[in-house]
Amino acid sequence: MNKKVKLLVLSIALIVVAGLGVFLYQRHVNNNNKTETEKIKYAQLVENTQSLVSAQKYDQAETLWQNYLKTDHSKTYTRGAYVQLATTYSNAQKYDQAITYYKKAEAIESKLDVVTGLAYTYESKGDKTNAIMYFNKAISLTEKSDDPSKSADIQGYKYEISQLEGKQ
Amino acid sequence: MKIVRHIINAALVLSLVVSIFAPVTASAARAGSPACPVGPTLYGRAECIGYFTGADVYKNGTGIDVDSVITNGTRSLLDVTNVTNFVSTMKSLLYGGGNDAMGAAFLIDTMLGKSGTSFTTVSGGITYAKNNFDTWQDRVEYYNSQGWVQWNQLVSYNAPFQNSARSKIIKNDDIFYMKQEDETQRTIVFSNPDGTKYRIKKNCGNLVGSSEKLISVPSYNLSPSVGVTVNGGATDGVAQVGDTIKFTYQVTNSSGQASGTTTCTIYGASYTGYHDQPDTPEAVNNNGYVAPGTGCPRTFAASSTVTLATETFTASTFNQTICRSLFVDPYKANAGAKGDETCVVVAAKPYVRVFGGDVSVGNGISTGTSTTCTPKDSASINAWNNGGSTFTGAGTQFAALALGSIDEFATAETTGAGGSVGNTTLPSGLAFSNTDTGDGYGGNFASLPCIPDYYSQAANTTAVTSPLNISSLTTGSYKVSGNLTIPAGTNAINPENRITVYVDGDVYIAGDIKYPGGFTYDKTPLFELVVQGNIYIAPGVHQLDGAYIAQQKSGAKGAIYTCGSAYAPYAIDETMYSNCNSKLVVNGLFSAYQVYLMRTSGTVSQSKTTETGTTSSAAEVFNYNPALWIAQPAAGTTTTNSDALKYDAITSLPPIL
Repeated sequence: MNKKVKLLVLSIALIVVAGLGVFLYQRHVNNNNKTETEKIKYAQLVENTQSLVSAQKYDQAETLWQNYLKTDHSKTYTRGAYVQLATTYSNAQKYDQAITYYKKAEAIESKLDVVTGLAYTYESKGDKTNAIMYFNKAISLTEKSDDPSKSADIQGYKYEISQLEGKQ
Repeated sequence: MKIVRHIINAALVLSLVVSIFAPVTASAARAGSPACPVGPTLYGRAECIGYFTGADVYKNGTGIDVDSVITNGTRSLLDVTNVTNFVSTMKSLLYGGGNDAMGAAFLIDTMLGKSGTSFTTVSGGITYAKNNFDTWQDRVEYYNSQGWVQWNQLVSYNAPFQNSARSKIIKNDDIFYMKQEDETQRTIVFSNPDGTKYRIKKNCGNLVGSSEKLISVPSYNLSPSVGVTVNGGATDGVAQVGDTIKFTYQVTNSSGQASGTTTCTIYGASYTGYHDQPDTPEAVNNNGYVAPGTGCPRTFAASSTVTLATETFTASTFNQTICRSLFVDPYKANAGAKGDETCVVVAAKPYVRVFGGDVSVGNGISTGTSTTCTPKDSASINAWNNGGSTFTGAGTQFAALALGSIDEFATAETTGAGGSVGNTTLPSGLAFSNTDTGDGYGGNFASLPCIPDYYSQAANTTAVTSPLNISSLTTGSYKVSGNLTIPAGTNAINPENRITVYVDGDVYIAGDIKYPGGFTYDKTPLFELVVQGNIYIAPGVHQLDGAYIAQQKSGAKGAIYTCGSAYAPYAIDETMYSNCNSKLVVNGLFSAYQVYLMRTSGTVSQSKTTETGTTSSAAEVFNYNPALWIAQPAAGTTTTNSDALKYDAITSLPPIL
């Protein structure tokens, strides 16, 4: 291959690589923007609905989360919405509905927010057995975490268990 | 191979370029510790910097090691369910010393908006919290009163989120840090009016989220008021049946600051008779009262007066007190309720009408045959009149003469005229004097003639005793020593009988005394009752014909009571209205040291310009008529001339006074 051909091939290769790079970068930026937009939207909804709950406007908060769940979201945000809706129901003393949605979230991923949510909801419902079981799960999960305040959190869950067991 | 190498080199260069221009999305954080990112500050302190001391508690290699802000044994604030135990728990922790005193101070100081940079030591922060505990307590209680606190809200936190804790290494101090674990926790949530929040996790006492300080307690001052008008005008607290009563409920905020959310409650009660309005407004509903809407709970703007509601109705029942009260709660921040009450008495204002005659007060009474007497300069006429242009109500068809004042008693009232008699005008056209311009009714006449001592004219009397039915008497003079009761039932004066009864004592009239329905002028009957004492007229008496004279004896008594029992007037209390609720018509005259017009029938608002003695709604009606002077015997006369008691001719000439 003569030198001119080599230079041509090199140029074409450079253009292809550059185009590919630009494409990948744009996709990365778009994904990031989309994720960031959803994150902001979700965070605002959390803030709004928690304010509604503080104002005891439970129905409005429930509706907002139900509407949110009617559209497609990533697993993370769908799970998060289940938790928030469940917590809203729990504050509204609709314990069975709260448990249903906590369980939906648990089915996606069992994390501390669901476990503690279930523990407090069962406690409010008067179901001591399940409340103690979930507080114990919360202790197990917290023990495995790297959170610097885990010992304090565990102490709180143990206090709740002791209260439920009537030891204090 | 060279081409491949070139391609790889180009790709590497491009990758480097892309990398260089890619945005930095991760927060700058201390290596290995997203819990302590550099940048954010809360209350003047960056993450993982001691709130009180400013010490950096991050340790390279191990990061931070933290515990609960408040331990409180192991319960932290989990047992807090209301403002009372929150305040008491915080106070107990603050003054209890140790880490929990620091934790309580951390919460109190941040709730008051105190920047951590204003402290250099933990003790300085604790001292500040103690010195400002009352202010903090006021704010917390104010938030609670406004319904701005949820004491047990379940909150799901999405990591990473702002948290706080007590650092256990490098420096024992409370810090802010970013928690990396989702959790759902019971939380005390204070909601600020601008939508921001201050949140405390109950399992650890940690301040959580981007918590904002509590606002200051506003210094508003609300005053409720209940105003009332009767028929659209000011009232002295008395209305009559048929009057339009309007209550107006207002709240005034005298402060330059708007109020917090305030509840307003209107109460309505009605009581039979007179209800003494207590100093403390009453929160009483009765008789199925339904209050008008107030639009509360609501806030009241600074320096404003707001009309919450009005209530208009027609008074329908006499002898009751209608009360309305308005309470606002709280009237000041962290204060209780304050109320105002107004009552209106729906009362009868009975009135007296005189037809065909005059009213004169203040005349002295001569003694024996003396023609001199001591007048009563303060003697006045007090009644109720509607005023306006028609002056319906209390008054006389002819003249009124008074040495004292004439108050709401019109002269020259004449049937159907509604304005004037001849060139006289209402209400003082025939008042003596009519130059008094005080309230327009006249009075303060210079002098009046003496009233004869009628009792001293008794002569040739026949002794009779109580009880005495007047029907049994024939023409002549009679005398009763001691008290006399004229019994119930009709006491008829037969035609041509001219009877004078002198009583040295009190008289109780229990029945009507009537002339016959018809008689000729030459057979006109006459009845005169001359009493040296008091005259009590039973409420069941509706008609008295003749002349009724009560004189003093030894400077006492001499009164006529139009509503009394045997030798005593009815009490002037809540029973008087029902006891005395009947009409009395006197076809004749009263002459007394004092006349108590006690009947409660009718009310002045029912008075009409067209009313007559028969149709009048007046409680007492006096018809002075010719029967009284056509039959004009010389009292106690001894003549035997059968024509002595007869007139040859009678005519009426002006003036008619």
